[in-house]
Amino acid sequence: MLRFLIRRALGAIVIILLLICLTYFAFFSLAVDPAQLACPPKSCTPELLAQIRSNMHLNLPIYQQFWNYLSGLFVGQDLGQLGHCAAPCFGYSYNSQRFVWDEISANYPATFVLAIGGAVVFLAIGVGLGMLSAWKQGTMLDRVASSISLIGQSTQIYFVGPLAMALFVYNLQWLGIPKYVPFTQDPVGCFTGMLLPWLVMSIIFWANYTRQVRSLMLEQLSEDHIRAARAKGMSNRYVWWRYALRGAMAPIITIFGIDLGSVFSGAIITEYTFSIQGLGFLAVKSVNNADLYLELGVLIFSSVAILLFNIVVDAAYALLDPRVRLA
Amino acid sequence: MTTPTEDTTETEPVLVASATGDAGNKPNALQGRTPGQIAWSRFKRNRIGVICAGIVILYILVAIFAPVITGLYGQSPYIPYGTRDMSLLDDSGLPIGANGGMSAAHWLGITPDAGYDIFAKLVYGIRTSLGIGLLITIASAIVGIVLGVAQGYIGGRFDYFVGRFTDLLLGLPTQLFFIAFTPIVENWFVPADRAMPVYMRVLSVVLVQAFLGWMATARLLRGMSLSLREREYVEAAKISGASSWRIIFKELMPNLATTILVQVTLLLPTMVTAEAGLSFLGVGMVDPTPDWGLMFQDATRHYQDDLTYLMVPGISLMIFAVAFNLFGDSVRDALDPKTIR
Repeated sequence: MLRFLIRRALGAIVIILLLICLTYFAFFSLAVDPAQLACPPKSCTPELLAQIRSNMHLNLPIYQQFWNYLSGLFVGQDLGQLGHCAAPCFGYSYNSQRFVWDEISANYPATFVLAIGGAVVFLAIGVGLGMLSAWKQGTMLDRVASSISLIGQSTQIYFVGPLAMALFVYNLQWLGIPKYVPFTQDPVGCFTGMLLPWLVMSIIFWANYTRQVRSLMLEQLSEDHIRAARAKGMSNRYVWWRYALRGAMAPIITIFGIDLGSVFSGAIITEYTFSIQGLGFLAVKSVNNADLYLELGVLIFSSVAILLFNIVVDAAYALLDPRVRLA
Repeated sequence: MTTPTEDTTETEPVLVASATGDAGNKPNALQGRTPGQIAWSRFKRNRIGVICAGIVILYILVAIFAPVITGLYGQSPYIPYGTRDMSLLDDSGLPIGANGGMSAAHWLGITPDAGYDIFAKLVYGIRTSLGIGLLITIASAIVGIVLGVAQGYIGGRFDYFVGRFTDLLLGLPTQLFFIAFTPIVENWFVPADRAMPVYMRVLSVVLVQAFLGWMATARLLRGMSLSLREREYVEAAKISGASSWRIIFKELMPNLATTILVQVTLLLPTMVTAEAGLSFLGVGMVDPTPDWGLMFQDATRHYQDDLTYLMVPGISLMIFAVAFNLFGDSVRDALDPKTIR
C-alpha cells in the first residue's frame, strides 16, 4: 500500500511540474507584456511601468523568471519594493494590491466546501436512485428514477439555480440567500447557506451514477458468489449490502475519480450562479482584469488540489480492491 | 440512459422473411441487406429515437435558417425595440404586459432594459451556440481519432507518452482552463488594444475547448484499435504487404466508424452546453452577438422580476439536451445491438 502511494505521489509531482511549466510559458512567453497588463490603464506612467518590471523581475530572461516563480512557490521570493512574498508565492496581483496567495487562501474554502458537499449529495442521491432502480428493476419506479436523472443531466446549473432561488428563497422563503460561512464559525449557518447550491450542483451528476450503480448492481447480483451466499441462507439484506454493494462500489469510485475535474467545474459555475466568493469568482475576476499572476495562481492551485484529491480517491480504491495495488 | 424497455434482440425482418417466405420466391426473400440498412430499420422501430431525431433536426434547421426565420417573423435580434417604442417597457425597464411582454409582434416577449426581441435572439443564439459546438466537436473528434488510433496502432513509447499526456489533461479543472485560456488565446491572435472580430473570438473558443475535448474519444479509440490490431484480418493484411495507411484506413476505420459516430453524437450536446457555460461566465461570446449562454447571463440578472425571460433559453436548451442524449442512445442501439444497457 505504501509503495503504491509513493509511486502515485511521485507521478503526481512530475505532472505538477510539467503543468506549471506549460501554463507559465503559455501565459508569459506568448501573451503581451505582463507589466503593461498589470499597469492600471488610467494612471500608467513610464516610471510605474519600470517599477513593476523591476518588482516582478520582468527584466530578466524568461527562463530566469520561470525559475524565480518556481522556486518562489516553495521557498518564497523577494519582490522588490513589494516586500517578501512568503512560501507559496504566486506573485503579486496589481489589480487587488495583494499577494496572489492571500487572495487564493481567502477564496478557496468556499469552493472546497461547495465541491465536497455537492459531491456527497450527488453520490448519496445517485447511488440511492441507482440502487432503488436495481431493486425495483423494470417497474414504474425504475423508469421514473431513470427519467429524473436524464432530465437532471440535461439541465444547466445556471438555469436550475435561479429557478430554485426564485422558488425556495423568494417565494416560499424556506431558506435565506445562499452564502458561504466558514464551518468553524457557524456550522449550522454553513449548512443552511450551502444547502441550495449543493443540491443544485448535484443535479447534473445524478444521471451518470444512477445508471452506473443500477447496471453494476444488476451485474453483481447475477454473480456466482451472490448465489452461493443466498444458497447458504444469508439474509437478503446482508447479501444486498455487504456483497453486491461492495462489489459495485469499486468501479463507482473510479468514475468518481475521473469526475473530480468536472465536480470542480460544476462548483465554479455554481458559485458564479449564486454569487458565492470562491475560486471561480476569482478566476473570472482575474480574467476580466487581465490579472495574469492571479489567473495563473488560481489555475495552478486548483490543478494541484485536484491531483491530490485524485491520489486520495486512488488510495480509497486500492483499499477497497486489493488487486489494484499490484498493478 | 433511457427506460430500458426497448428490446434490441427482436427478430430481424430478414430472418422472418426467409422463414416464412415461399420456396418459389426464394431469391426475393433472401435479398441481402447492408449493415446500414439493418441499422436504419432497427432505428426506425425505436419510437423515442425517431421523435428525438425529429427534434434534433428541427434545431439544426432553426440554426441554418435563422435569418430566414427572423426575416419572415419580422424582428431582428440586434434592434433594441424598448428604446424605440416607449410603450413596451415601464419606468424600471421591465416589459409591460403578461409573461414578459408576450404579444403578437414579440412572440416570446422582450428583454428587460433594452427590449430586444427574445424569439429572434433565441433563434440566432441557437445558431451561434450550435455552430460553435459543432466546430468544437469536429475539431476534438479529429484530434481524438488521430491520436487514439495512432496510440492503439503504433503502441510502445508513443502510446505511453500520449497516454500520460491524456491523463494530465483529464485531471485538469476544465472549466477553469477555459476561463483562463480563452482570453490568452484571443491575445495571441489580436493584441489587447485592438477590437476583436467575432470570428477570431469564435476561433479562440473553438481552439481552447477542442484542446481539452478530445481525450475521451482518444481513450475509447485507443482501446478499440488496440484490440482490433490483433485480429486475424489485420494480420492477413499485414502479411499480404499492406501499408500502415491502408491498414488504418481500409481495415481499422470501417470497424471504428460506428464508435466514432456514436461518440460524436454524444459529444455535440456537451460541447454546446460548454460553450453556453463559457459565455454565461462572460469569457465566451460577448454582446451584441446573440448566444444561448449570454441569454442566461442576461436573464439571471432579472429573474426575480421577469422569470419568463429565463425560461425561454432554459427550457429550449433542456429540450435540446434531452433530445440529443436520447438520440445518441438510440443511434448507439441501432448501430450496435451488442450494447447492454
